[in-house]
Amino acid sequence: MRRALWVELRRGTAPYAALAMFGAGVWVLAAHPDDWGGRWVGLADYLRVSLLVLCPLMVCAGAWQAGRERRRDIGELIAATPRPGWHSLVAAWLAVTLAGVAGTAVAFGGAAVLVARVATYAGGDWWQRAAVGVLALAAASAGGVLVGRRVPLRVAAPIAGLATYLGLAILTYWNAAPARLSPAYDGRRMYSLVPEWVIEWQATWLVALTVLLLAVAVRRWRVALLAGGVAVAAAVPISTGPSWNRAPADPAAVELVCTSSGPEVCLTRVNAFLLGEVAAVAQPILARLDGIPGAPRRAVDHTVRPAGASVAEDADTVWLYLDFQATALGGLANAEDLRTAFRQETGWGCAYRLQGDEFDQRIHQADNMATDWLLDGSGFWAEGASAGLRELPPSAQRAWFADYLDAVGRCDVPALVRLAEQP
Amino acid sequence: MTTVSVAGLRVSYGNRAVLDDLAIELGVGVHGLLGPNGAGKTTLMRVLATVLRPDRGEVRLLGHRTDDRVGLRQARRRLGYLPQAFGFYPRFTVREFVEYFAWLREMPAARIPLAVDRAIERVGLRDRADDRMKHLSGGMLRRAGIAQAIVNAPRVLLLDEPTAGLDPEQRVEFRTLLRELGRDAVVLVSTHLVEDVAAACARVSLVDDGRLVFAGHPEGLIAAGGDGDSGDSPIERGYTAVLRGARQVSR
Amino acid sequence: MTGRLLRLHLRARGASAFVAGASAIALLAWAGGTWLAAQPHLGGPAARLPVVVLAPLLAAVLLGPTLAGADEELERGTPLRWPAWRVGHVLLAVLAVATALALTGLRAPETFGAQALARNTLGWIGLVAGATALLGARLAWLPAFGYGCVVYLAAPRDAGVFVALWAWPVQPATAAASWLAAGGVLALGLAGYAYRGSAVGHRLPSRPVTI
Repeated sequence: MRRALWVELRRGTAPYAALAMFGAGVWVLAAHPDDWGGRWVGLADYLRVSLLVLCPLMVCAGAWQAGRERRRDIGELIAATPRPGWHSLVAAWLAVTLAGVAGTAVAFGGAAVLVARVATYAGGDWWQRAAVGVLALAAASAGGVLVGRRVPLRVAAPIAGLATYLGLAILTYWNAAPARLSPAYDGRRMYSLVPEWVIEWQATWLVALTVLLLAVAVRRWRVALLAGGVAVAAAVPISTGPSWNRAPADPAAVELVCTSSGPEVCLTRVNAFLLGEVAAVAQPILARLDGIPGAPRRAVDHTVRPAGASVAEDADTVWLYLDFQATALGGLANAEDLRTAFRQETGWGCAYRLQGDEFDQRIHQADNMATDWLLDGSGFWAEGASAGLRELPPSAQRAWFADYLDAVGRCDVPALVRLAEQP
Repeated sequence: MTTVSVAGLRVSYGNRAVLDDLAIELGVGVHGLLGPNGAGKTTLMRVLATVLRPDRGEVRLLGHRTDDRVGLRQARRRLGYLPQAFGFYPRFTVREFVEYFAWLREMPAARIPLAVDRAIERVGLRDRADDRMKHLSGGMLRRAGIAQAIVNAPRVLLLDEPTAGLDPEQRVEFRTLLRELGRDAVVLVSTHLVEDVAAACARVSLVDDGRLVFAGHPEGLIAAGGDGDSGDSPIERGYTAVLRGARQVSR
Repeated sequence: MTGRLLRLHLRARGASAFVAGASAIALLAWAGGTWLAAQPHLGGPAARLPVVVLAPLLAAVLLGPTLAGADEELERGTPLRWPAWRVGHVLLAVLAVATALALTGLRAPETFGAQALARNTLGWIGLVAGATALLGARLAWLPAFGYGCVVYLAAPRDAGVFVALWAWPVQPATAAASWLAAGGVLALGLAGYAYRGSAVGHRLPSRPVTI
């Protein structure tokens, strides 16, 4: 077996499969580094999301490899040999699988090096999630092998690949329980723990599916029946069990890490690698607000906001949304987006609530002034709006902002109009 | 000693019987299998190679019945086969290709490297052993095909048109190889080149329209021909005479 | 005479299998597109993006094997005006596939419907034709398949002319640059295929090239 495997690894579809998987992996990783940068769980989840692309490629490679006997018209020669058919088929499948997984591993391994440099949370079940992804790749190549062996169509390989693509895409769209059997998922579950039983059943389901597909390819009906039984047994609890989409939060992952000096900025442990850069953006703004009645005093990671989290909702806190805020190297992707969070605090809600006749353009003017003042003259869309305000003495500026917050809180239109015209 | 025996063999494609009630016994030595196109030579080869299951009849290879699963596997371990249309993997090197078939024939792993080298050497491809198959000429490919057929030192060797694509010099060398292989194995060579049979075969069988119409020594076939028969050599005249006689009888 | 030649040509290239396959794809695209468009939680007609990307791609992959005869060199040795035949062959396929698929996306044709289906047909068939000239009909599906698999997930979330150019299959039909890109791919692929025909790889001696 080792001899045949070695030859297949070098001369079969395997080298191309490795190259394709590596290329696709790098491309997909490079396309959305904000999904995985700096976070182990993010990277594992991104592998699962990428299965939408990687599984079809594996199916195609498996089908191309298994269709070789027919393409090269060598079935006659092989039929006269004593070795059971499944030996060469398993060798071929193993070669494609190992090569494909290796290609993927190199691409994601590169990303893992980048993550390892900065990651602040290595716990959770990220490696189990990634392992299920690898099993899915093996199952995909087994599916390809089955198609290649059984379908005498010249374009069987790409058609099977694209059909897999379509199937997985529909499963991610399909909001029903059986869709959970798909190893590729859409959402990000960075802050929660997938229940252990789910991971165990998913692994069992994928292994049984692999064996089933291979057994059907070589017409080993008894093995196929057995594997099919196991696959069904594993599929039932996955598709009928409670949904894990709202799995409980991973307490260690959402534990807050806060700045030790200056105004308080707290991020979850998962996102804590961004703390330095986030604090550099948030602290000057918080410092300007310090002491103003009704103004927020600290900035906290949005993740802990849902019910059951450790921090209750209060007006003292600005919530920072950090899910797509990492670059591949672990830096902050977009400081402007963070500033937007503070802009929300300047009460745009009131302008939105007013309709038709009540609305006065000067309300916007007041909002723009407040935003620009808060962001120290660099307000997005409102740059320079607070120039007049900032010429006043500091205490007057702060008094104006306190009045503004008060007026916005009550949605007091005359007060806002007055504030817009005041300085 | 008889090592290949076939009795009451019938193979048909649809309603047309390609082989009908054919019986043949082959012992150690080189056997030529002659016959016109469509006579059933390749079908007989495929039955003996165990890739085509006959409709009726018994096939024994080295004492094993081919309709018995265990016996079939035993027989296939000692079987070498080169089909007429012979496929190959273009990206494999000659060595890898022969090695792969040694593995498929379930040779003990420890013996494979030496056996592969020896098979490649015997067909004269030693200096091309590490070339990819796609870079070989037609004659070299044929020889690589012969190498895979002999790698497991088969006791039954079936070669369907092995000399197609070989140049005259290679054919002479090939005949020497055949005689060498025929010392301790049953070698059945199907061919249209009757002079190959005269030169290399100890025995010759002639098939026409699915039936065995002649079995004996090449000298016997030569003796069957007369001056009035068409052909440029004595054995060609014998060949046409036997065929004509068989067709007259069947009418 | 040309009519009979045309019939023989289409038969030699397996046109009937292609028509059957393309019809099946059109039916699936219609069913899939209608289902997706009817799912309000997915965003209505805009959810048809996977159909818009994959249906024309599948049709183009099926077209691949028809772009070469059983023996390309044998055909090239004949005095027929092959470039014209090749162009005609591909354009006929583009017209047939684009029409069939566009008919499946008539509901809200501007949001990932008929227009985008037609544009992607141009692009994918162009890519397959170009790949045939470079890699041969046997592997013509490879670049389109690989690109199609990755572009859907790898397309950036932001829009722009450059993105519309390289990620043309996933752009809304209103992005002019995506039409430019798809049309350009078709023109290039068509020119390459008309000029070179299907690439002939290593010919395996002593036996016909198997596909």
